[in-house]
Amino acid sequence: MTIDFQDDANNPNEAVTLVTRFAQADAVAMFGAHSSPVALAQAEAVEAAGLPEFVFGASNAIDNPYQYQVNARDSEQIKNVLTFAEANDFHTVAFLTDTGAYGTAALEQLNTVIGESDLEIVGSETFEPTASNLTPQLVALQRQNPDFIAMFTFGTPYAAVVQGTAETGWDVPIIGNVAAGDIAVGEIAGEDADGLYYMSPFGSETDAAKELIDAWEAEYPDDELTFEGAIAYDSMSVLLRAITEGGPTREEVQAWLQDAVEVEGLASGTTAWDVASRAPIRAEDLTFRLWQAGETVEVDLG
Amino acid sequence: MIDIAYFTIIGLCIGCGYALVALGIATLFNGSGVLNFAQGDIIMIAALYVAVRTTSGENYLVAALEALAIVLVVCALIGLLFVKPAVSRHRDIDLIIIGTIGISTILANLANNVLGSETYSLRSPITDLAVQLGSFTISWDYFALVIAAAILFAGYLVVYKKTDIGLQMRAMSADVDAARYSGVQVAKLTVVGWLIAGFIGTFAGLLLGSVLLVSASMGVPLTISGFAAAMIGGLKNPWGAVLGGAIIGLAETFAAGYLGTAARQSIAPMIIIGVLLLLPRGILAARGARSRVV
Repeated sequence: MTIDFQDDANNPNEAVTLVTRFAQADAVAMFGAHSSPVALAQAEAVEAAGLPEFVFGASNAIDNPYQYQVNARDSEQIKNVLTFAEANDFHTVAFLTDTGAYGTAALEQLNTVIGESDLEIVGSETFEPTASNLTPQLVALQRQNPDFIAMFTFGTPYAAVVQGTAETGWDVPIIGNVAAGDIAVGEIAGEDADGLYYMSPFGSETDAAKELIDAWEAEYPDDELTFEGAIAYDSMSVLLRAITEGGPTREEVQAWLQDAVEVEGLASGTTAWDVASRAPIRAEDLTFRLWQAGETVEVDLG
Repeated sequence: MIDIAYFTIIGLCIGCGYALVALGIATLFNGSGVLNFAQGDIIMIAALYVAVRTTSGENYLVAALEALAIVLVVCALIGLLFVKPAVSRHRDIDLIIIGTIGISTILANLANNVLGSETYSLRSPITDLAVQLGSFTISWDYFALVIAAAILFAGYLVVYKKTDIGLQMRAMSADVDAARYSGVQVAKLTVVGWLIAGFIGTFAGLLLGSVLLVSASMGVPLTISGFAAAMIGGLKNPWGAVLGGAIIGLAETFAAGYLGTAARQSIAPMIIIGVLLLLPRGILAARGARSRVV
């Protein structure tokens, strides 16, 4: 198997161009967009090319039949916001979401899922995806006095928000989505990130996870295995099964993936992956983690 | 009440940063008639370079000096690029202005490829020094913006009003052909204008980089805010940049805190449009000053 690595620089236009490049190179599948806005931009192109794409983006707005989400969808992550609130006996929540395609779709899901629960939504603020300073939004939320903040975005705004809480002196629990575990958050914010909770689709409780961690440590002793790495490994495992069991053409891979509702033995999550329904990682598969002294640790909410 | 005091201080301090961006734009405009759409990216290069170097362990001051050298070389090269059209008796200033948009794109792409696409938090030697205002902690990085802006403005005014270079810049700003016939070396002054803009841009990058997250994509938003600040007071009046920066900084901070992100994002573009329509010479334009009309 030949693998062609290209960088879309998280740029939707570049990412669509790469779909054409891979399609013309007779690729059987594509491991694609890390962010939801880029995945949404690629949807028409992958469908036109008949090219199955494994997508890391978590937005529920992704619904193209050729795009298979391999991360926990927002709706699943938001269920765990409720779990987080229940475990801590929190009754009020405020939202922080970005104004981009991802944040807008996530806010809709937050309002829907949490709006139907007993948790009271007392505030909601937005920010540009490239925001550097979130202290005005934090001060606005502080006036509503929520028990905790649920923040759904990706990238560096998580660093900006923890720097903002340090600056405003507001000791409020914040829970982010899986993207809050990005190593850049710790690198940028340092110890300011301490206390930021997030969810991870990769734990160490299953045999497959333990096996992958051991293999990774033997091969790359100086680099920690990230959840993105684990999911990428699992996605490749799924593709290899599709090729082995379905066939080596694009159409055969797509046909196999359309029926892949119970793929077992993967390292991410704790249950079988339902690739076809875009539900490989469910709420109960996610573990809670916490930033501490620039590192992340798994936490048991009890 | 403390919220309002906090927003006022932060807004004014960030406004001083915008004023520095505006000063860089106004400097080049007054020195060569060029509206520089690459000023935000010049600032970005300084901030990103120092952030990358200090993250890898280099001393802040050494990295800052290296950044200054790099920015001055880049600005000298850009200035030389514009020398020929500047000395041409048939120069089309609009084409040169559009050229600065191209320079902006090139600088952003170069920075992305050479310095990387990661985002950084630039920690200066005074980042950990802070003033307490109720529960709020305000780093001295914010106050450094005000102090440095004041010093740079004073220096700029001395150069602009009291030196021969400043006199030549003012002459060229008023009429390039008349300045040329009066003995002004247009080519040399064009390069000098870019170097001064680069010098101011480096300090703006170091100071703004300490209070904003730093990445290769930070240039364009800074340019927009800088233009809005410069236009409020009038591009020909350096004090206008101070007033404009303060207005933009306060308006953006209060809008984000009380009106929401959509309002905050609209502030700078709305001010640019409003000034263009209602006060094309700016609030502080000199009496009798003429607007450039087409």
